[in-house]
Amino acid sequence: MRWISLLVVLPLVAAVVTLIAHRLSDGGDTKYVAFLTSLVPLGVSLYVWQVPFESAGNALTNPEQAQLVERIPWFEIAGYEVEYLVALDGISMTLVLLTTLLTTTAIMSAWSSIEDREGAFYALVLFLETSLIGVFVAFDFFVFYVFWEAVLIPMYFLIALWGGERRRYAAMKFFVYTNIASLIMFVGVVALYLNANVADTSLMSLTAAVSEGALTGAFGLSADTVRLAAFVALFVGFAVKVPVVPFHTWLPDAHVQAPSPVSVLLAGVLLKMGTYALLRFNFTMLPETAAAFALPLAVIGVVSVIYGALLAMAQTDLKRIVAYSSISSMGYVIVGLTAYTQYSVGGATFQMLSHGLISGLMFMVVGVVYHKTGTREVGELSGLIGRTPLVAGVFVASAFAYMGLPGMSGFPAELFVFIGSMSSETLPYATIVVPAAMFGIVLVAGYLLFAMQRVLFGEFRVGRQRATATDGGKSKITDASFAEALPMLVLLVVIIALGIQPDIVYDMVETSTASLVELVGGA
Amino acid sequence: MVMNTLTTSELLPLAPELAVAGAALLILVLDTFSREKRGGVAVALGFVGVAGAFGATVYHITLGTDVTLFYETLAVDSFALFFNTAILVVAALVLVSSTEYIERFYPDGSRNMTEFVVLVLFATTGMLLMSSSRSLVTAFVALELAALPSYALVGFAKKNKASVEGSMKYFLLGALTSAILLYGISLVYGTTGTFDLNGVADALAGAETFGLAGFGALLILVGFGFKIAAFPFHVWAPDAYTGAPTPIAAFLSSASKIAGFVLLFRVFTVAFPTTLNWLLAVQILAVATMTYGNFAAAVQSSVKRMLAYSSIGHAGYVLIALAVFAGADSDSAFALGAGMSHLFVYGLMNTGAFLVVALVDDYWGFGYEFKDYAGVARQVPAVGVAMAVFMFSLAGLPTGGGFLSKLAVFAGAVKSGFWWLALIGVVNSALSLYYYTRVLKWMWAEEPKEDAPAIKKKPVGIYAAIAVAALGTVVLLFAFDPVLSTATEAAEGLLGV
Repeated sequence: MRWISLLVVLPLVAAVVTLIAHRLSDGGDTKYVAFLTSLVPLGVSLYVWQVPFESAGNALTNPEQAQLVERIPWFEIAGYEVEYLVALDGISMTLVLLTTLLTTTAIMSAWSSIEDREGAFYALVLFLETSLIGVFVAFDFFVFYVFWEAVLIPMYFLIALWGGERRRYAAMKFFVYTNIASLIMFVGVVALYLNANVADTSLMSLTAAVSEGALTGAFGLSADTVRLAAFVALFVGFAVKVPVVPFHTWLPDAHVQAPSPVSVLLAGVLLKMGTYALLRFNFTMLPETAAAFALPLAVIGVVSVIYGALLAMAQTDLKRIVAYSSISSMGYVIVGLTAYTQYSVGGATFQMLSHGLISGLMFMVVGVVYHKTGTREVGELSGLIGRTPLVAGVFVASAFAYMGLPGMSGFPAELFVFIGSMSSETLPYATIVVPAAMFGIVLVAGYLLFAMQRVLFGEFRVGRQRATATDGGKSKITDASFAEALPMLVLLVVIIALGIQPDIVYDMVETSTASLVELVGGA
Repeated sequence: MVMNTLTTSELLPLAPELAVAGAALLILVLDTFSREKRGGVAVALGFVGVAGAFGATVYHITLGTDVTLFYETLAVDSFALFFNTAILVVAALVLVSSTEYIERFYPDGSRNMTEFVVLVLFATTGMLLMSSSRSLVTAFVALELAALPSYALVGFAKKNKASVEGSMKYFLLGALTSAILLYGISLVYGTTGTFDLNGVADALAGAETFGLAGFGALLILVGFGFKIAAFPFHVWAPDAYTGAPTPIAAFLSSASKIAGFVLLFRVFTVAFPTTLNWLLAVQILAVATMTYGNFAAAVQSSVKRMLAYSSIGHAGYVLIALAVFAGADSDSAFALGAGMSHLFVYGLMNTGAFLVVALVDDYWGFGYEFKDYAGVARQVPAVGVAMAVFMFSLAGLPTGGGFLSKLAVFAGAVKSGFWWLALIGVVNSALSLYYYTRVLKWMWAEEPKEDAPAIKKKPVGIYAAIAVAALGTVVLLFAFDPVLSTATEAAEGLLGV
């Protein structure tokens, strides 16, 4: 059974079915069809995870440990065999699960907010799911790149067509910015292939060639220079996606303009593409360079954490606050990766999953608040808890999850990174750098709590004016509907389950990340 | 010289050219004897001729035909046949979409549909012969055979000022460059005493000084540069494309450009040794053409002009394939093959994009500007999707064959050691996304204008042509290997690797 291809194709089929249903039913049932069809890839991914998949190790460092491998020759170029090569390991599986879960919940959360051209909207979301799964399972560079770029297209249209006031500007900025980054990355990887003396373009061959020291110099540059140049190109290319300060400016625009369900996927999964690719390419393929530059990279991470947090504090729009806080959290992942210890790398990967779930949840909450009240300004909202207890409850829970409250997935993730990084052998001054990053996270969490407090508690008020009559606009503001509540509650349950028992996923992650530590000779 | 009579075995390899020219002559004869002007019959016959030629070309490719004809002035080899398939596909797409277009956009012209079809067929014949020419004189004659009908086609809407102006510019500059080309040929002939490409190469191989021949080669480069609309010989192109009936713009910017490239590739790789120092000229041409095309495309306000400049940019990418030439080695063959495969993919996606413009601009009458396209895709999503396929593929996103063929071109450059050419290409390619996406932004993301015309009719022919081009573009992403390997083998055959 070609499980992985099935996983890639199913959302595409779902997209077509949704489009047809939209035509046939005149739009009435589109959202239900989209939701039901999106359950299929979710179900299959859960099945694959539980039954045929066995987490054995890292697919790049030990190719024979890659699971459910599929190979089909694609084309040959300049003496390189290019194959359709897909596989899974613990890291990929985790992110595939995150993708399928978030897509389904995002679709349900869109039920009440998306009313315009539903067929196209859901079809694009499902097409996005196909591309995202493809990114996480591709182990040939060209297949990877095709999916990587394919992600941009549905995202561009989702922002440009269903976004807010300045959606066209935001969509164009997102598109051009990330595409230029992709090309920089592309040039970097191709430079590696050209000098690595490999017969095919699979990521495994390249990893093996680089680690065996088969890299040669070219155009008068030494092998080390080529490696360093490639590392920088890759880092810049992926850093835009993460995003790392100072390459982050596209993110707030895109987030604020994107409709909430799309923000869920943007923060929940798209940002993880960046850290996933950093982990696969920079930190697995070029470990020596990464270890040698651990300190500057970690400093970039810390700057992202702190600067993201400070930017978040300057915002008054709830969505912008959450958007900037994502920059902060992703910076923390980078710190974990640079430390190269069992727990720091495992924790960083777990943080990708955890942050995907939590930021997805937060964007959903913000989306519901916006849908109910018509504003996202902190100053214009007050006392929501009396009118919308459920939304308020989820809001509180997600803010706590973000802070890393024990019992929620943010806790093990941040703890692992913290503990792991402190004992790092690659990262000098770890005892200063890591707590600095931790401090940034707390800063954001504190600010989130503060914003939450202002929005949820106090006298009920929506808008600039103090509500004169006690029931001014009271009847309009209702609590979350079933369709709005269910996806939030599902995510919350998963967050709590992972917080109480991280091993549900962490064991699998660790089998794949443990071998990375050996790459730099660490323990 | 003994005059041989023609034998069937000699004519068989020319079946594609004969089919197209035969169809044209048949249409002319029928037209003379029929009382009513029947444009439909002409288009149908023309299409049959082109389809037959395509079949014959594919048949010869499978046979592996490699012969020379007419005292070695024509070569039917895999190199020529590869390009012929691309030219014929474009010609077929243009023919299919023309009737409805002319009826709608230029009703007066529909009485002259036969002439239109015949001109397209003669131009196609000229292009097919260009790809087979292996003598400078045959090349010149074939080039003129392709060019003269083209001038007339650009000015087909003869009551339309833009059309006539475009035609006039194209004709005047074309005549001038033809003269320059001819002068170049005469200089080369004067130095070497032969028109035969291999003969020229042999003569130059022993020579010590090249002054005159080098100058001749440079002038020939100018002549071909005009045909492929390379900067700075492109000035006619934007006006001619904008003024011409849009399917003809598609024809010129795709088929005519492809034919120009065959000649360029064949003449320069076979006849002129690199010791003539033409490589530097081609490198400058490549960089200038792609950069200029890109930047000029980015500032256009008309979609059709944007496409015109984008086609100039693409000529720049393909020029890289020749700019890295180093003689009969496998790297050069690969680079050349990559350029050929890019032309093949480009033929489909560029023709498709122009046909979408033909549909939206002229057939439905939305207008030429970007802002006139506001919300078109909401009314006709299928056309919007097709345009997205063409634009993304032209920009080099991996949603169509354009990604792989561009990749092959850049890989070829890097393999030959010209990483800086590839880098300039990649940067240009990244910038190009901006203006390609702009069309899509207007089509999809903007609200339709109040006074936008209602879409009443959906022309079957134009729709079919667009669908074929879009499908082909996407399929080439998955089935790129046969194209690239065929092209590379053809290039190896030409260079004798």
